[in-house]
Amino acid sequence: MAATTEPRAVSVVILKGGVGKSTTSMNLARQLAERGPTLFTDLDPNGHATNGLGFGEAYRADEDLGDVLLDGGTVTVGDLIQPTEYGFDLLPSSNELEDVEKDLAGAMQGSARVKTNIVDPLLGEQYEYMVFDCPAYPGMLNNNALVATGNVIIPLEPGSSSIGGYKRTMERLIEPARKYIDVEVLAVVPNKLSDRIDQQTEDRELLENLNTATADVNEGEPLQDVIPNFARITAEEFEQIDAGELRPPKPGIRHRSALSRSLQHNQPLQDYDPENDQIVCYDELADIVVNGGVER
Amino acid sequence: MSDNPFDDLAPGESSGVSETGDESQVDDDAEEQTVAEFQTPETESTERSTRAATLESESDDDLSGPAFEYADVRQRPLYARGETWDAFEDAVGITIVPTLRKEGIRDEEIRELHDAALRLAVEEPERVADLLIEARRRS
Repeated sequence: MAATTEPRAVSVVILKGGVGKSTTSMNLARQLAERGPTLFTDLDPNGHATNGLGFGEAYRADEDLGDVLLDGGTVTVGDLIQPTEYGFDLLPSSNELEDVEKDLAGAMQGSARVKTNIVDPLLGEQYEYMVFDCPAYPGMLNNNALVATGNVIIPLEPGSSSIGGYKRTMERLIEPARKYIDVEVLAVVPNKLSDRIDQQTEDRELLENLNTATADVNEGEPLQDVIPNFARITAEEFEQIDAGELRPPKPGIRHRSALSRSLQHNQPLQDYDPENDQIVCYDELADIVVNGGVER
Repeated sequence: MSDNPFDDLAPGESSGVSETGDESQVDDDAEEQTVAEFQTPETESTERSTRAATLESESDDDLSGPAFEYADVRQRPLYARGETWDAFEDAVGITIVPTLRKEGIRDEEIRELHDAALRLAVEEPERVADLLIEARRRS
């Protein structure tokens, strides 16, 4: 797909918990905010990102997304949006979001409510970029995110179950949606890496799987083409690494204790540890959203 | 016919999915989409207050009544953590039951849910092993 810079909304999805979705989406929103007005929407009922940014009160507020998305709602999306100290605005999750999801399942065009009530009125108007943090299970919230954004970023952690999570996400979420709408996978992002890759570790397995995959992730675009540069290792490079001719790089978003600590301090990485060596990864993710794809 | 969860995007009182909005917000390809692409063969009624309301009259294949009788079950204890049961009940409430309602099923029995959950494990044994290994790594 020809890369173009225009206002863009993206969902961070994978049907598997514990992969680092919230951390990835929040830090992506933080770096996008450097590039233009950004809204970060937390669609995950557990509200990790909302609470992690210090908006516990908003998470428990009486008015929530349901009042915006469901019929007879009396609240506008603007009433719920909270400014943060980090350059982006937050549309918080709510402890009632699970009930909202049930109600969406019975609503007319329930899958399109986020698109019509949040993205259509705000994208290109109030915000240049929108990032959605999504639940780890399939359902109406994930469906809404997909219909609303048409773009996804899929984070993966090492381990065989992660590949299973990727397959499930494609089969149960992306492919069914593609019968109705265009869905572009902008990037697949190896996350939480910590091992050497010059030996047969799970990190190596994940990186090799992704970087040598020839199956299409988008029409006419193999999976390896959507691996960000910070995680891209060609087949030749793997050979050179194994022959000892190339010093093994440290690809992917690395496991850093600062990343988990930053959330305990209610801050994105950029604000908690501005010198951190992983910020460049989130910067590239932001560029991928701006350009509508990976640029080699 | 299909169990595509996005079937609610089929045309009806369209709230915007099938109409191409303002150009700046639509991908190039999306602009060329016609309403026809959102059609599904199963919808003929365009005005519905809710899908469920019409489904009762729609379901020709008879889904009423449980798939098997209580006498057919073999009861065995299942040992799982409290949080896993909670998560299972959430999944039942948030996703499974709404899906059943869309199919017009209103009387699902616990035994049917448990039977289906075990059959899922039989279908995806590798995933079961993965989850177990993962839990050990985390402990």
